[in-house]
Amino acid sequence: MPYTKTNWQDNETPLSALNMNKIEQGIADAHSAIDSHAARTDNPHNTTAAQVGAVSKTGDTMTGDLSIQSRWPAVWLIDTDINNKISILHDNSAFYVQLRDAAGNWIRDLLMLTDDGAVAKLGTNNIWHAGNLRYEEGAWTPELRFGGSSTGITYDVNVARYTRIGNMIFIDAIVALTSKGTATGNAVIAGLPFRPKSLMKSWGNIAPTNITFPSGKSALIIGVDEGGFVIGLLAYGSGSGYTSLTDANFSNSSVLELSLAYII
Amino acid sequence: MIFKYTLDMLTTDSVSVKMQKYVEVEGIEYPVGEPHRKAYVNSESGRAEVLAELPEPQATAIMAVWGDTPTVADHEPDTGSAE
Repeated sequence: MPYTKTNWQDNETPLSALNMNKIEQGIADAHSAIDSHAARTDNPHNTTAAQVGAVSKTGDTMTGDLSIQSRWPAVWLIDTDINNKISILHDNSAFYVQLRDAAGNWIRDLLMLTDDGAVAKLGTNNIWHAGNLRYEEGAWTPELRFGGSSTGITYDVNVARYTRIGNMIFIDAIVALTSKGTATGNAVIAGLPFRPKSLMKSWGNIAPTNITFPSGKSALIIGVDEGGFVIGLLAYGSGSGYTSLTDANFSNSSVLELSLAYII
Repeated sequence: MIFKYTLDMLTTDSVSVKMQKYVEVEGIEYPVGEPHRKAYVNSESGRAEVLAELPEPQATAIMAVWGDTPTVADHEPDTGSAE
């Protein structure tokens, strides 16, 4: 209740028990009001999260890191339309993204990444295995050389692709000439995307067009090895070994289409 | 267009260089097309290709590992073999 103060007057207001008790009661009422107010936990002043630097439950933006420290730290994303939950958690040895039902029961793992990177799964499928198998796709530019030189060689097309899976490289390429140039010597294709590490030759297939086979030869094969570093173009015959193609076997309209797998 | 180079498997004998093109839109870089790769070997001709084909920072980094002299002889293509 509102407190009505007494206006004390010299030689007029009596110093009585009544007036002193009124003072005591005022002090007691003030203490009671303060104690009562201090015990409230219902935010009586409507203080906002922003006023005290807290994160709002209705949505906010943090500018620092959020740390959750517990034995199984987790974040729950709840779809209120279907009440399914996505749980992002760590369980001592792996990071998981899991789908759970409305009651929080596990349905299935959506993603798992082990701490040591040895296993990663998308659902039940391994993304990569122990050893962190690398995968990459890309392009490389095949370059025909005779005797190590590409002087004067021009192309209608010289494009190629590669796929790396772990230490295996799969390549394919097409080389179509408009001029074979003036260089002379053994023919190779340079420009490989990765250096071969094969101890023995890795062999591949080639489909030639407008290539004249060396005398006694009737088939072509390609191969790379660690020492070669380029793709050799080798002609085979019946029972007489192989010989490298040279500039003499090419024309200004020669075309080579090839595919090969090798180890790095 | 932004060109980014990655030096992979850089050893004293060879390196594989990946080049990826990017465009920047409103501060975010997006890759364009697929990466292009070429491997270089620390031979006389390989060193010349590195210096001729790669930007100076990447060429310098490779040469810092390769040193002053080639470690691999330029390849002599196969000329034949008995079966």
